[in-house]
Amino acid sequence: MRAPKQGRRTAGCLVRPRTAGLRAVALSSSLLVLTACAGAGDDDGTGDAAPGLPAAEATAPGTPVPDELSGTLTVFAAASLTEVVDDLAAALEQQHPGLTVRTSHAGSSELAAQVEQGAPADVLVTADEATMQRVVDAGLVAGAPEVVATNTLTVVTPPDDPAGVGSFADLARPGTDVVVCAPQVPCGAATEQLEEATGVALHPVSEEGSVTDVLGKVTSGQADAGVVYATDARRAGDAVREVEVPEAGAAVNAYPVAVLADATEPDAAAALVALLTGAEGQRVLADAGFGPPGGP
Amino acid sequence: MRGARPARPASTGAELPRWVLVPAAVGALLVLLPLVALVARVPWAELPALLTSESSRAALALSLRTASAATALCVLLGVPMALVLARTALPGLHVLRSLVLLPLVLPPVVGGLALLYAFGRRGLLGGQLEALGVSVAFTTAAVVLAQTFVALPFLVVSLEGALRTAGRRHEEVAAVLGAGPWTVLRRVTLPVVLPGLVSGAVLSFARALGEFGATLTFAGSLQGTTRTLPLEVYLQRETDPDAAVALALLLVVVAAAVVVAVRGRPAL
Amino acid sequence: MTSGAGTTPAPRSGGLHLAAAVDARGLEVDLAVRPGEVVALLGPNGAGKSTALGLVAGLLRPDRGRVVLDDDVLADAGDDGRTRTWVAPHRRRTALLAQDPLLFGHLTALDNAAFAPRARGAGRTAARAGAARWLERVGAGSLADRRPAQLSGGQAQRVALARALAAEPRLLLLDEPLAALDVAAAPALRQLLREVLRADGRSALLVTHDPLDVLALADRAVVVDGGRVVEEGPAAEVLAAPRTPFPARLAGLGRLRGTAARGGLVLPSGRVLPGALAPGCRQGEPAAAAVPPSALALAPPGSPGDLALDVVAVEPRGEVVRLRGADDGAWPGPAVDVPLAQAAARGVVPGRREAVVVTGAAGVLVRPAR
Repeated sequence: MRAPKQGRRTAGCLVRPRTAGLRAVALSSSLLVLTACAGAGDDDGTGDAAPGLPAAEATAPGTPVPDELSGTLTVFAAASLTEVVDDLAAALEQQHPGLTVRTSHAGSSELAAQVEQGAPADVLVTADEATMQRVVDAGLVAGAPEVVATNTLTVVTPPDDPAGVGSFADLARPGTDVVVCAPQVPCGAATEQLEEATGVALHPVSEEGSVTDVLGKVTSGQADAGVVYATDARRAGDAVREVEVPEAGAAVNAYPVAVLADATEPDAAAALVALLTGAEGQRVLADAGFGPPGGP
Repeated sequence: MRGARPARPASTGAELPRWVLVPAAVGALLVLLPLVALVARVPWAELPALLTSESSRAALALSLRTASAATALCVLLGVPMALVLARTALPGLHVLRSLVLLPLVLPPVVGGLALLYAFGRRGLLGGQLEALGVSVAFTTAAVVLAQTFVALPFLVVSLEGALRTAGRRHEEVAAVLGAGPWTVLRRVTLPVVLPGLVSGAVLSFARALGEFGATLTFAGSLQGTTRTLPLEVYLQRETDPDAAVALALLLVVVAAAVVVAVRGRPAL
Repeated sequence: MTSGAGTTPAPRSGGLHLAAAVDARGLEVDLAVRPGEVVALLGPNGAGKSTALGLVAGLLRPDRGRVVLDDDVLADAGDDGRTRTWVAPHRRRTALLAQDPLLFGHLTALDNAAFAPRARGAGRTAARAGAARWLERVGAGSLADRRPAQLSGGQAQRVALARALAAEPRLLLLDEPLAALDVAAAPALRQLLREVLRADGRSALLVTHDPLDVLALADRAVVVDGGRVVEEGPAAEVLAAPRTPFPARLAGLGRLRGTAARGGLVLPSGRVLPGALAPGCRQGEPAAAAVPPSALALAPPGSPGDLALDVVAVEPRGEVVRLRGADDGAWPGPAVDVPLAQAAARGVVPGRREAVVVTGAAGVLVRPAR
């Protein structure tokens, strides 16, 4: 929970970075940010925003990139990766002043459909392997996709836990209002897998179209509990209480990345993939709540 | 208003500057093009199957049921509101009028949040309702509540306008003829403003049918209970675009029918 | 008219007694309608005529005073404005017929006429039977099934009259009932009103701007001006020999000044306008009389005439042209009708002074003038 807090505070003291570039500054060259924050903090009392930040993070070098890159790199990434990818893209831009990185975020299947219809993209990151396979089958991927992260489901309740939820099985107790994703959307399909693995049949009061809607029902206290991704629970911070689900490994969502066959900037594309799979990429992903590529 | 209006002559003395046609055409295109695009995208061959799938039928039935209930509630509550607004001179009435009309211009999600904080489990009234054993969260009642919230102003505006246009003179004549307040309301006021009431109710129904944001925020989404047509469209949008388009077409058809039904009426 | 709204007059037996004030409209009137009597309420626009009707109908609350109908107190605000009695409009048993028929558009003519009996609890069948009789009575029996939108103005007003009569009102309130009708429909409806009012001995309070209505329908006339009753008397008398400017204007009479004499009014030219002296009018004192245009004519060319008329307006009226003299304060000035051919030959225009002769009026009433 440390990194998101730090991220929010950083955002606060920077008056909300408007561009990915500023956010990258916050992550990869935090010393600069510390200075900026301290300066602002003198006036508004948020000068203590920085201490959570370890020095190692502040100076962590990016994955070495052989040559100077230029041009415009276009990245299509699943919506759940928005912040991670934007941060890394900005970091890449910082390392290569001649390079511009454009990112586009949407649901995985929508992105895949766009690629299939010939949208000009260099890199595609999806939130599940099935969708990526579609693009591979269409012959639109150069090389083989590489899994960069995993995401698992977790149970969240309002902080005061009105229904006393201690396990996944508790969700099936009568009188517990549980909200999940609809089976039609990926997080709902994963929830069904989890139900099978645990042998617990849920009777949700609502099946939402997106995981953020599930989270909203829990943070507002409407629902007693919700099944969301670990990354969503991480993002929600103190607004929810997280319940460990030991069986979470039964439904692992893998996030594959691939350079597309029609990429106009293959070198820059490769650099971004390297950044994602490298140490800094993995650290940023972990901070956002993602699991390692091999799963939990 | 008596009899048919004479046809307007084809040409009047003052003509519009020609360039007005250009932005006018652009505006019309802006409105029509997306609708045409939607219709063009309709998978006509599969349309019957898509519209009669279990989830579609459940959503349609729920939408019709909730929108009808919400319209009934709008009439039940909106008619007295319009009467008070149009026929009384209570202090602060104009402020009340503005506030009552607020949901008309409020973003739907904001309405949903407001409902949540009022009737949600942690809301202003939610606690008391919970204590009484009433929980609207995730029930069809929550959908009706959300729809009524957004649709009520349509009925009130429409009817209040009709009441003001009709004036009080017929009511005064009726009273002098021996009709008590209830008889005047039942036999004179309401029949006189009936067209305004009908168009208000139709608009309310359409608004209730199309309600999305407040329902999503406040009521949840469960097939047959809270997942109305718009929520079904929203859900199908990514996974089964054809189904989403088919249902969207259904909503467009209903909306078009409403526009045709209301067009030409003096109120609103 | 010394008793203001504050001093409650002793209730007379039957009829209407209205002695009330509405401050917001500047109205403070005291008038009565005896049983079986039709009283015309005259006065300029804004004088408070409709306000007075509203007080009787119960559409307005008096600030002071009382409204009594057939010995029932309908409203009593006392002298302090504290309402002691208030009878709601629907319990007053009056009926209102306005300029606009105000028929209920969603009901047939028959159901319009049946409205009041139904409102008072009569069954549908009985109410309709009664309504049908009233429609017959006003000559609208064949219109029973029509909707108001299918009626002409005159037809609609007949149905509205049937509707008002079917309420069996103790007092009929008529607010310019013929004013909106075209010239073809008005006389027939006037005749109908006359029959209904006279034959059945009804009490009515009639607001009108038409002297013909006053003469045809009313027994008495009450003139309201500036919110006060300024004149009242038998209808014909008020129009023929008005004490105040408004009925004079209504009747088309012009004021001539002179000196009171035994035979009538002596004009400055020495010519005597034949007539009688009103009580309190002493010979030799300044006096005036209201004379109709028919009592005057243009003097032959070259003749000085009996009086000079400074023409301020020239109004074509069918076969004649009416030349209007300047107003005398609030009073209308004298007027003379000139045959079209003569007017064309002489070239009458506003601003010119014309010599006028008295051609023998049928006895004016000479009143003192200050």
